[in-house]
Amino acid sequence: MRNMIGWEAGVGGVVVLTMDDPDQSANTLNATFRRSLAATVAQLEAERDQITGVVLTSAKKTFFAGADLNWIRNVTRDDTAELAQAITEFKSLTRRLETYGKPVVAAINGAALGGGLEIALACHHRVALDVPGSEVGFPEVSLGLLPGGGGIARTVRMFGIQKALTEMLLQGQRYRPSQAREIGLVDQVVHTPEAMMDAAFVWIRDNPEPVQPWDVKGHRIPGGTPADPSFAAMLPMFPAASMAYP
Amino acid sequence: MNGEAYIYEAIRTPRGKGKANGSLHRVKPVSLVVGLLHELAARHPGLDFDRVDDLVLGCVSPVGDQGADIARTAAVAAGLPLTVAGVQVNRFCASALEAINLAAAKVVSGWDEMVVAGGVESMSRVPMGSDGGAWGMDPETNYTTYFVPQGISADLIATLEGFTREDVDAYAVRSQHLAAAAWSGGHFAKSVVPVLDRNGLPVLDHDEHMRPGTTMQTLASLPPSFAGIGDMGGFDAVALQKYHWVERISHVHTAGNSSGIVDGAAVVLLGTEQAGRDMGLTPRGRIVSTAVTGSDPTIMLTGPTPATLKALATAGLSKDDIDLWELNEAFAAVVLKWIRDLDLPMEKVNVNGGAIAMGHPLGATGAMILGTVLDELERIGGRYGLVTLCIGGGMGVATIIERV
Repeated sequence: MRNMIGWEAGVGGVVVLTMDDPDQSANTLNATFRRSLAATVAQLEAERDQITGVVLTSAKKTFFAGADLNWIRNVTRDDTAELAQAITEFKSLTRRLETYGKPVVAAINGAALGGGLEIALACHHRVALDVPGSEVGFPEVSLGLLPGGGGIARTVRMFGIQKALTEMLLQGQRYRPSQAREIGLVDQVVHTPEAMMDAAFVWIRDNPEPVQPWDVKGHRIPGGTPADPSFAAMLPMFPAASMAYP
Repeated sequence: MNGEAYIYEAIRTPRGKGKANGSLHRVKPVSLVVGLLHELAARHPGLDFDRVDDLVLGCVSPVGDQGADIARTAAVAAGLPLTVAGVQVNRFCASALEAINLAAAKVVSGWDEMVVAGGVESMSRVPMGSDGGAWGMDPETNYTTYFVPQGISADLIATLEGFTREDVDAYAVRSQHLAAAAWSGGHFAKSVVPVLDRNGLPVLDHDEHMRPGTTMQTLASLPPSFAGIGDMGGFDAVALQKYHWVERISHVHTAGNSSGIVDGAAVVLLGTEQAGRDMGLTPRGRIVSTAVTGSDPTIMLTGPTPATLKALATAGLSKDDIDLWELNEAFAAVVLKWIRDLDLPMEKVNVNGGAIAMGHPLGATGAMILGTVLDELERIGGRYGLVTLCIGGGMGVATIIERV
């Protein structure tokens, strides 16, 4: 199998990874991608000493379209073990990416929805290109799903349970790049592909050893958890609100 | 007395390590109970829950995830008929046996005809002591009642009885080896119900606290668990005020010869003979007698002996009638003292290991070990078994069952 993630050794030891599914017009979380990501992460780890940072981007009009809906639609109870295994593998690969020890930047050249945003959130920094059609978000709920590839865990740790649920997870909001920067889903917005790559390289140069906030000792989920009585008092309202305002 | 309380089923979850990395940490305690209730229904298609009056569950730290009457919560969450009520009881470490005894009393009296009893404790999610309480936390109360933590009490028992570190460690090795043999021999196959996640994928199917390779050497390297709170914390002095003839407390208990902190749940189905017959259920045993008693709260863990004697007297049985003796292994010295007090035959005591190897999910243990004894009576063709636990605050609960 050809790896669908292109590997280009750029200047100063920065590797540019370009996702480009040969069989589809958009990148999705299919078997080709999972196998490719596994090989790429393994190669990154093997060549760690020669690498100063990683830029992850896409050759498609969109960054990444998320789960392969044809696959998800056909999943039955008999497939639960296989599906769980695939998701676990994806989560483990993105986890290895974010604990790589070298800066990993998502150069979001177009829409990053669902699984695409989950990949971007596993990167240390997100630069979004503002072009027609670019938007980020978790539309899973509109299909009767929830993000299963780390999107819940990471948004909750970035923004707290309440903001993650109400602004990202439970209503399937899609954000234009500037809005996404305002609420914190992306860090920078640029207007040309060149500016996007420049911003990624500059950030890598300035942040040689980034650590995700939740990997810093003492990190707490903003706004508290169900173990905190003041937050716990609000918990019953989340499901109630979902019935009141479906 | 109107009738008999028959035991129709006794099942439990496996015990997960009571830590954030334990397999059952991600499973809510209510889900542990719901899984067992669904298993009861699946195993016994004839079981008519419309005739189950109550769900009585032990839970020792009934706050947070397991607060607010988890028994009623679980009954509703499991989708049982709304007439199946639900009450949570707390007799500390004997809560689940207390739940069974209460349920038996309801059935024997004739006022209820079928009751599910047991307990649940997710110690990884709701740590011991989460519910506070005047006994330990209120300085005035704990001062005037000579409160000490249980580990000090266990060490005081060892000191008074002259049990050495080697004695208690040897008992712990025995527990580990018997538990490993019981698992490999399939002795728990009938009662352990694997915990599945919402997709039906396995979460845990065995007791994961066990360390089958335990030896006297590995145990000898463990530091005493309670020397610090005894010395720096002042609790040795409290115990010695009351037990003033003791020179000093010998801290022999460690993490290796005390019960393990684990998560788990267990339920037992009790009912009248008539109800069982109507539903086509086969009784496996019956409750012969129950007993509860209090003892000195400072040494705290000596209640099993008087509770045992009381249960035997109520049943009109003698020691020699009992085929299996089961005392929860809260601490090794507690079991050794009970054996010495009653001069019990070691080969009939805790024959499948206990909480030192497999863990002690506080509010669930009583039901787990009652099920273990019932399974073993069936396996060996025995008749009577006695189950008892030592209890915080200085109490003892005991139950005698008969295989039928």
